[in-house]
Amino acid sequence: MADPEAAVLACDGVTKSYGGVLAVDAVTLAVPRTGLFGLCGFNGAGKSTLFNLLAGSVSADSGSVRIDGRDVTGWSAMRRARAGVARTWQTVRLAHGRTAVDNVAAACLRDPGQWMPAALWRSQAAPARERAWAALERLGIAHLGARTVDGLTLEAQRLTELARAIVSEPRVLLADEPASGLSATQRTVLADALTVVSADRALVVVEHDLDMLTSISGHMWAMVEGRLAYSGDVVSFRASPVYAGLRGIEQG
Amino acid sequence: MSEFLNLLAAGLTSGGIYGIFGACLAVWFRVCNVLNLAVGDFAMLGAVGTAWLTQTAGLPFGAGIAVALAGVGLVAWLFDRVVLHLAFDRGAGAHGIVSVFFYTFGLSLLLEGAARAMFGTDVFGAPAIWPGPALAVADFHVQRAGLLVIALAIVSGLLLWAYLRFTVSGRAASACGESVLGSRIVGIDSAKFRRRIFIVTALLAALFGIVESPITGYTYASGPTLSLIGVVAAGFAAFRQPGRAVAAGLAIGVAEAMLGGYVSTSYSDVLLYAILFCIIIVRPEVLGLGPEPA
Amino acid sequence: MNRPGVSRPGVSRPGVSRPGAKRDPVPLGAAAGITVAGGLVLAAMNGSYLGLTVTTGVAYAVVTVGMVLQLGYSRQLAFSQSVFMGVGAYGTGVLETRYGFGSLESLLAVIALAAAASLLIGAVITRAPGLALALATLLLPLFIYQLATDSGWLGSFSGINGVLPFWSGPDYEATLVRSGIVSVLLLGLAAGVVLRVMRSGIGLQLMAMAEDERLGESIGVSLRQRRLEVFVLGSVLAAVGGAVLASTQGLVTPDVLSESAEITLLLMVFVAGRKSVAGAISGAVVIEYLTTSTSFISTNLGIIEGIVLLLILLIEPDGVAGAVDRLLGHRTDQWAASLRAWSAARLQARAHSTPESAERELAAPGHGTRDVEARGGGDGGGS
Repeated sequence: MADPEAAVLACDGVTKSYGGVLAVDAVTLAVPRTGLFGLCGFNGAGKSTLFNLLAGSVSADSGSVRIDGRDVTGWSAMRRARAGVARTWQTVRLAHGRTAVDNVAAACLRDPGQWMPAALWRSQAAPARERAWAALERLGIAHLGARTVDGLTLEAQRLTELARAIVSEPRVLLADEPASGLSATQRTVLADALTVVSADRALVVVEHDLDMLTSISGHMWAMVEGRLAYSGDVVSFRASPVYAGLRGIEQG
Repeated sequence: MSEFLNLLAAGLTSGGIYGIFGACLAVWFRVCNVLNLAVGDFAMLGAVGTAWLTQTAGLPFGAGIAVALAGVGLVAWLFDRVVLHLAFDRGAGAHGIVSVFFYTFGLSLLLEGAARAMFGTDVFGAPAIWPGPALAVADFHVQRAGLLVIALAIVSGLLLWAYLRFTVSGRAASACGESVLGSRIVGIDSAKFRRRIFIVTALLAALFGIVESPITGYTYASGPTLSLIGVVAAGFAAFRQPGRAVAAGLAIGVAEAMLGGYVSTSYSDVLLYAILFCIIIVRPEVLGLGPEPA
Repeated sequence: MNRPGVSRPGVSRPGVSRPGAKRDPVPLGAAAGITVAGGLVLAAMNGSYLGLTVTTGVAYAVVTVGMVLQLGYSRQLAFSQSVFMGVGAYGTGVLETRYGFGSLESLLAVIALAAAASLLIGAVITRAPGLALALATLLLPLFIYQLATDSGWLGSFSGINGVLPFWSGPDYEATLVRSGIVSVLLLGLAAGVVLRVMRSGIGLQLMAMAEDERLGESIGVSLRQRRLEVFVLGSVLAAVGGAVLASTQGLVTPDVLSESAEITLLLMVFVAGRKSVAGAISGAVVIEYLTTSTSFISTNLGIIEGIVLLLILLIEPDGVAGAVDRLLGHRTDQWAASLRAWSAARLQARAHSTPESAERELAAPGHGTRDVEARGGGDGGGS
């Protein structure tokens, strides 16, 4: 029932409250098929919650979420992941004591639902690692693939997470503050990586660094206190009062 | 009818213990994400220690209680100061789901073994605090010790509730569980809370043991079952909500008594555990551990 | 750091399959190695009391190997292994003494029984977070033990006698050796299966899930499916261990499914190394020997177990195997690097220095590097 004309990922009036606090308030937006899009707002504005709602790790109190026009509101995070929604988190989540390539390979099994007895004679590990190496290479960190993730720099870890997010060739990637903790030069490298990644899919990036975000995004969303306060192109965003408000606090 | 009331009274007595233990476990889990599997052993130490001190060592009753409680408090303080401090404040050792169970599991093994070595395998009952025959109204009997247990349960339950609800540190203790790092940033010292709540739990457990042991005898091996039911009671409260834990503990106690009275005395425990087991495996949502899409 | 999008040619890729690459040899190799080595050891012991102790240790090792997958690798907390060991032991006892089953038939039957029981238990509860399973299995030994000791059909406190050995011989010693060889074969199979799972694509998923369940979900892992599979496999292996125990000792007693049996199993796994198959095997055998040989340990068991557990948790959570791994870690890389250099040189000599072989040598992993994990992805978690 996939609608080819529809946005790859869209939500309509999604609302989520936690114990009386409205984290996300009737947000409606549609993510186009390809491109890099920015989502910004103060801490606590609801950006991460919105990501959780879109990715399915949290279920909405009301409203709907659609992938390619198909209603996935009741779908679990696992199902949405298999349908092509990938994500990264604010804090790095990599398996300790394991190599980067293994961490990435875990995400790209051709048949993630394979039953354990079947794995006894057909292991998907080797082809998955091949794809993992390719993803690491695409992001320029293939030379670190055989290293344990604990020994990697934060920048390398974030790129490993990004590689893990793209290795399954998702249709849309939700990146939650992928540059947090990185220096200015490292951010440039990451920005390049994000641009490369967004060439053949939709990539929504949450960031506080507005300069970086506006320089790479094609479209901006801004959230204020759970509501979508701005949706439009970057140029108009720079002229909007929302932008001024965000910048004001940033510099203040 | 009177048999029902008698059973109910007995059930509320043990249920009160289960409930308070469950509540203490729930609060402690909230603060430091560790399950206290040794709570029953602290009760055992209180009961057996007091009994041994008064009966074998010949101490006067009050002194016996005091020494036993002091000993329990010392053990609890030592365990936190040495083991838990190293594990959680210094970041040594195992983490994750292992740390939830196995540190206190090791303590439980140790306490049980030590009790066996020190006190032997006899059955002990501390002297009654309120001596005398069971109180009776028509056919309704209740042991005096049982009344004391219920009274202690009510008092400690109210104090716990008041602490969590109305004091700044109590509300902070609840906040600890949500985010350790966040709490620390705001200035809440979760290590301090962890120690305090652990020691208070140990002392309270020992007190319950002392008060209840005239009714049921305690041996060195009585701890684990008590701890387990406390854990189950806390489990039915998602290991977080002390109020629900108390309710669950009471329900379990009453169910145990009713099963013993109406179904079979020798199989009451087996039935109880089997029923609890079946509830959990068929309807795990009852535990309230959180919504999880399949 | 390279600019993304620019690929670096000639980067070495350990662990990548090339056309015609062989399967991962470790699981099969381990299985064969265990069987052969174990068989030789037992033959040398020739049916002595030591041989009996070692074979009993092998029975526990089958269980602990399953616990490595469950507890160590997948971080699934379940306290049901002793109960399932009891299912295997009692199942074997009942089927053989009351229904005339042979050894192989009863083994297959208890495997099926354990699989069914664990599927039943796990069907719904694996939808819930792991604490639910931990809680439920904490309750299991409490009522199962009393049911077993109260049941005349199961032999009450004296248990069941007359369990058949796996493979009979002309006398007691020969029977012990032969049955021991079968037991070691079963252990080898168990180790092979567990290693295979850990090193497969599913093993990678388990790695992610164990680290963080939300992470697992977000990369498409079905938490419920994997939890159930791990629980069933662990339970089945425990039952096989129980069958081995019953066949080795010729009898079944209720303490196989007591809480203290579960505690012993947990100690074995923690002390020896919960993430290491080799550790689990040696730990089971050694600890079984220790607990039965000295009276000091049996009388003070509780205190010793408690202290040892706490020490292990604080000092070396990955157990002896973890410590050995860390200590040898640097050494094994030097050995591995020199081994690779040596074999590359041999290859070159044999190929008469063709350009292709020279290039291959330069691209060989570990050539001049000292990375700890240069062994590549194939080794993760397996040993």
